Amino acid sequence: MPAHGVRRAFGSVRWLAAPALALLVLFNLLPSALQLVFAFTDWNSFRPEVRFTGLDNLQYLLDDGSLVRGVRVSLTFAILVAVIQNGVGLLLALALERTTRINSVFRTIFFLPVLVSAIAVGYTFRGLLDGDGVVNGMLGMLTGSAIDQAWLGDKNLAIVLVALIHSWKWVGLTMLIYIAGLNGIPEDYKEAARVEGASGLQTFRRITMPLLAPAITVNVVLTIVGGLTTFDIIFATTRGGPARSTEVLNMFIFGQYGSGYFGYATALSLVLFLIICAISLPLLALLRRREVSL
Amino acid sequence: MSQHGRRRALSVTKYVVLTVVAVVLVIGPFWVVLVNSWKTFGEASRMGLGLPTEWAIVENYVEVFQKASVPDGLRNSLVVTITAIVALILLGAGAAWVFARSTRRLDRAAYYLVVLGIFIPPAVVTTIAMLRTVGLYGGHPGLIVFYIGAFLPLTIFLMTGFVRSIPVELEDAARIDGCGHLGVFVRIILPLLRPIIATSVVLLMILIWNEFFWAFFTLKGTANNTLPLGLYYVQSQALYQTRWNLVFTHIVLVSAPLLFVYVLAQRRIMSGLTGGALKG
Repeated sequence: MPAHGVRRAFGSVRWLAAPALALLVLFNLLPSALQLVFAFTDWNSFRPEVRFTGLDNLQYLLDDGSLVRGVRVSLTFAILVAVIQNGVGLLLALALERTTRINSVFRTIFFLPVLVSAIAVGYTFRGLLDGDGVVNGMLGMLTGSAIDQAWLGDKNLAIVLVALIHSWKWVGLTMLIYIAGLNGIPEDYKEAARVEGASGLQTFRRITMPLLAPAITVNVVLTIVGGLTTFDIIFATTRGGPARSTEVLNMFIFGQYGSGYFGYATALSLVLFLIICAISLPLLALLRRREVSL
Repeated sequence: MSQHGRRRALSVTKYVVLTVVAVVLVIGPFWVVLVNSWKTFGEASRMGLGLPTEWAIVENYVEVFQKASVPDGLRNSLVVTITAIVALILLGAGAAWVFARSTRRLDRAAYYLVVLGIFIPPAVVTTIAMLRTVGLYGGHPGLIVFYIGAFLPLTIFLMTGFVRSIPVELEDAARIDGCGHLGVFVRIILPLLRPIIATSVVLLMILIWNEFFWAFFTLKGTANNTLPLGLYYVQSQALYQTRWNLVFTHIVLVSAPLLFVYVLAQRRIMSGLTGGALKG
């Protein structure tokens, strides 16, 4: 059969994609699109009919200060998480780049937290950071005086600590993606640079970093999006407190939804959706352009 | 010091630092959870690092098993995770085959829309409204289709890249030998996809087994609870608030299945994730 015939015949199996696309549209794309409608209604659990209220929801959330705070807390958290996870993840990947037996053991250890439920991680660290928890006990032993700091109760520290806990859970995945990226760089390039007399730092800056760019893009997008959509760890540790200092958008959406204000919840969810689109679309386009040029 | 000696010293320092970090920051918290799940209430609330003076393993595990209905949670988690993953793999493979081979512009556009979906989180409130509309809200089927919708983009993306690396000549040859389209898919494509299916299953297991946020919104009635939800309800009962021995016991039970699978298939998981993550 000529190639053209095969290709045309292939058209008739496009139905193989249909079940996947149907479910994707019904339970992912359509609900996302519907946010554009319901964010501007007074949809709630107290009345069956839904009315358009225009920008009232956003106006209310702006006036009340909660929208700005939610966005600020979420962005702070996401940036902290992205910096910590990419910094530590890249360092670990560079240290464990070669696949030797001992490195595999370390990779496995650093990957373990990825497998534990975020809720469990949250409870564990709440226990560790408690007033009479392990961390204070260890610090007390080191300093020789009793310490009963309630770490998660400090409204300046809490956001940093929950970002650290989130990063603790996920850094193993970031590390693995960097290792995959590093292993994809042909050894010849580095060897050539070395032969030309480049120092270790120069090789890293001129060869490794540029060739690692796709892994960096993927990791930055994944960590930022992961940070923006966090819920479990904050829910299990601070529940948004103290003084709402860790109330990320998802905590807030959860609260509005739980109280029956579906319109407000959807408006907040739409804001989160738009922030994530604004961050991932350009990065994705960048990634695709690079893919073409390679 | 010779250059060789210096490099050696550097390497030793590296592994000393790595060991300290791994022991204090990773193994430490795991140990605190494990050892305190063996202690009595009084001893666990001091949360020491030492072995229990009075062992309470059996009591703790029996109590958590009964009160938190761990067997139900385990069954529910298995049903939801396995059904969702099987559906995701089969549906994803079908879609990936079409996307990888089609040259139509419309299909290309659809593919990029799908890929974008990897980075966009599902809209919880409107998805639940959709589940209510189609009558799936509250039970496992609703959560399963939620997961299918949420994780199809990732699954399709991983598999499409892989299908592209399979020579199209293999399919043509099978067609000439009289294989139908479905035959080509089942006999040629699916078997060749095995490595990427393994990687996808691992990733999906990690994402779905521990998933809490959407399950919390979607499931109604404690009888439907998956393991992470069970942990939440145990911990949120005031009775357990300070009973760290029982909370930690529950954490061990929730985490054990995935850690067990990981230990069994560790090498494959690592090579799958490091090898397949960026290709495609």
